[in-house]
Amino acid sequence: MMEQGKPITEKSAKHIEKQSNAALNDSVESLSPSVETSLQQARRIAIDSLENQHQSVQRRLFNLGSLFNIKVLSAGLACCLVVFFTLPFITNQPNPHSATFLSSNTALSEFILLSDFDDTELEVIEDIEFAYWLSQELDQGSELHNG
Amino acid sequence: MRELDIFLQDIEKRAFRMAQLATHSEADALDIVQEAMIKLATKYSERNPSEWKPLFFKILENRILDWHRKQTVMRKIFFWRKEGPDTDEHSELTHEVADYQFDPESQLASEQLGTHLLSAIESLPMKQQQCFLLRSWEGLSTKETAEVMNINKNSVKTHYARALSKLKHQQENLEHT
Repeated sequence: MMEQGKPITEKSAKHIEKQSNAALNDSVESLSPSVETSLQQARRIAIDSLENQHQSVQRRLFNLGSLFNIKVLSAGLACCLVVFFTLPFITNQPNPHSATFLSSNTALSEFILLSDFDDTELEVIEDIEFAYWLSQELDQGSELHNG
Repeated sequence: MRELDIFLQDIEKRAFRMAQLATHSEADALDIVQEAMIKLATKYSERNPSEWKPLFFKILENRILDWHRKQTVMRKIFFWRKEGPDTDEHSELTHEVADYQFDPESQLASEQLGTHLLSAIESLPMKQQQCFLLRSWEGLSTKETAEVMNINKNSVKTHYARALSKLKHQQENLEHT
């Protein structure tokens, strides 16, 4: 706290603070009536703007509440019921798993026919196909036996 | 809402004086205080009342800074004009104080000192003035003042020390004369 070579002690700092605060408080006490009136008006405007804000929020909530009348609610309920009952019919399609299997089986045959495999590779593929056919035959046999 | 009204009532005069010291203009100070009040009421009234004071002074501080920025721009645009309003109204505050003092014989010394101190505070640089008023007069802590002024705590301490030093220097000048 040095200014022009003069240090300020804590005591003198407190003294200046005290005197300054007293001067400022006096100046506030002695504000002209016109300023006081203007400040009161400013405060009133601020509080009114807050009240207006609250009122507009309440109005918006009230408008939102008016949407929920009996006609709107019954129409919404009817829409929900229609969707609830029609949705199973729309989604009831053939088993996608079997369709995928059939398409993949034919695609495999086309792939084998169109590809240039040597004899060893063809034998391996034929073995796989035979194993697959055998497993299917066994499944069918067990189903007939059980049925 | 009642609580906010009481808070604003309690703070309005001091806020006005702070704005007046910063702008040297009664009309501009009133505008600034009104804007700060409206913003506090509409944006921050839901906050905890203990937060209102630093928030209000932060808004006030920002409004004062905006005012200074506008003045700087205006001075640049209308560079041929003299800085009449500021210099004319510079002593408005001190005259006002002198007019409303009572019992001049017994209070002559304190009146002179008070007027002189107000004039000294008014002539402080913006940051030092705001820092001094917030710390000393409003009683905000260093941390709160730093938050209000959007500067760090060390800067607050520096501005405050410089303000005190200048005020002491002014006071000593008065005592010598």
